Amino acid sequence: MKSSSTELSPYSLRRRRRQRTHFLVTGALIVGAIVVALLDVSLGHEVYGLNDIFAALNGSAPGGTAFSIMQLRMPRALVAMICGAGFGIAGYSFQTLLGNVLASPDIIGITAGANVAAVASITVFGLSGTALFGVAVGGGLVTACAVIALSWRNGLLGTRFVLVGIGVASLLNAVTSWLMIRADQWDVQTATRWLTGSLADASWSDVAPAGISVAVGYLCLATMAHTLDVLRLGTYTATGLGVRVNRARIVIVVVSVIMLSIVTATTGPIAFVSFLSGPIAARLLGNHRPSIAASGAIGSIIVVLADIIAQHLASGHVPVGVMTSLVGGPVLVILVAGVLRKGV
Amino acid sequence: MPKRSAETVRLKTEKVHLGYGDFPIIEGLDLQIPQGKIGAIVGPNGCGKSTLLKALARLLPVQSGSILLDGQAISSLPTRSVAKIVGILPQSPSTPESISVEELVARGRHPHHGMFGGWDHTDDTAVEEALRLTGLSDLATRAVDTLSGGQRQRAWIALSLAQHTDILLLDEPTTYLDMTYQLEVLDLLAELNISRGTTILMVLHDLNLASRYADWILALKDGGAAAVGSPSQVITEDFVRSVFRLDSRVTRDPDTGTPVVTPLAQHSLAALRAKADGAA
Repeated sequence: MKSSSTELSPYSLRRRRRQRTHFLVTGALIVGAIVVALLDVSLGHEVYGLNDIFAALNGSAPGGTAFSIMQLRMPRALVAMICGAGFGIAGYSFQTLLGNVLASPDIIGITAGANVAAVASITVFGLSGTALFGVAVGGGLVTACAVIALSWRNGLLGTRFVLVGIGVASLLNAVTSWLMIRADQWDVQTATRWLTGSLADASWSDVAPAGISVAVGYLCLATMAHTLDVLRLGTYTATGLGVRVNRARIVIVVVSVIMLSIVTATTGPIAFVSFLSGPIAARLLGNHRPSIAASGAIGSIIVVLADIIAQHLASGHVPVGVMTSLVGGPVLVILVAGVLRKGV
Repeated sequence: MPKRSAETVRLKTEKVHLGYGDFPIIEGLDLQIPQGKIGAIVGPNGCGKSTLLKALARLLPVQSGSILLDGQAISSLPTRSVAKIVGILPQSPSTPESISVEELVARGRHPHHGMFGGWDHTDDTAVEEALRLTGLSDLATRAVDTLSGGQRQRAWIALSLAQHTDILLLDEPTTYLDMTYQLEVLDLLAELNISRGTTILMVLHDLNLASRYADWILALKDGGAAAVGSPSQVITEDFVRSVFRLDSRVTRDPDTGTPVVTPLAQHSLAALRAKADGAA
């Protein structure tokens, strides 16, 4: 008879296999995100090879190449990657917390809150830079709190939260439109650039704040991955399993909203990335494993790919947000139709 | 009466008041849950059975009085430590879409882990044992939402078994199940009590099943305990009349000797037909 330590039971074999698949798929997605980012750097008016990119990185490339790669393309690709990851992670944590794919922050009004705050700052108060950044983050947080407060009834319920959020989003979008109509011509352009979600202005100065906030947000949420997972079993079961449910929900919401608002303040709201990343990760990994990193990687891939298509394949310079909308819109319609068929 | 010495009680209530807002449900209840026994909470709809069970599992704050686990207020203990001692299976818990049986059961190990998981051999063993005890080993990879009602309930009980708690609270574990499945679930809980010595307290609607499977019964009515004791002490014709407002005959089950409540003949189609014919 073999000892039990060398012979693994069917359950533990299956569990190990699931874990291995999970790591492999997540790893492949992260590699994929890096590959598309390199592609983004290499493509353009002048196409650069990997050797050019490495030369530019270690400072041995000729001036024109170095400038083009290091000053124009590299920061843009990095910002696309970082912010894509931020959108993806925030989307996943909201969707999982509320047990509803429609509960992503771009649908339930949190992005709309950041938008209103930003557009008001630009058109009414003439803010820019850090102040604008701060106000947008505040707008996202306040909206999140308002949606939670309005939908709170002995706890947080996914469906009510989604419906209240959609209502709040429409209200805030109306305010944004009103602000835009009565704004000065010059401000309208700035505000429009904010609202469409664009990487055209990405620069090195964006990389650090967005990168730090996404890294910190990821680490915080990664420590809570299992808690987030248990919360899907409902308030009572989660409490019974030792989760401080309300505290966990608040921490997850606050961390996600701060991270999301900062990336939104960096690129503007790139439509549907939050909404799409989590479900795609779940499709690839199987539904029931914490897939924060995978959702982040998919967010990166979506934004970078959309940027490549927007820059080079679409005619003229289309903002990246328009590309993601073209994909995200139909998916939203399909998912809503599916949800309605099943009953919300 | 169950034994009531201090060493054999871990969970108890002292003058506990429970309710929602201004609406009182339980008023000043003293209850000691004897260790290693199976208890059943019975009572008419709305008497606070589920409310009491939730409060015992710290899912509901007390309005006044206290719920003590090992002598300390349960609300003041770290919730994760409580989760290693007291398990709760709520009524109709929400099953995430397409989760497999073994992945659901594995969630029961959550209180035994730190922040990053750190799954080890003990966890594997606990999940496997829970699957085996509930007879779900062959269904382990099936999605819970494709199972029958009885199998689904067993999957949730397996989650509680994997949690490895000394005390297990269950809110109507047999609701929505047909008779065979009801007995299957109660057999499973009895076996758990016998093999692990797990203390079980469950809300049950069926007085006959409560009598068959419980060491002791708590009957709630009008915000307090109408009766506490062994099934044969508690379940009498007077008790059924006063607590449930039902005229019944209480007999002994010829095989188990436990009380069997049969409503009087006036509550039957034949009697009502005869009455209608008489009036016509």
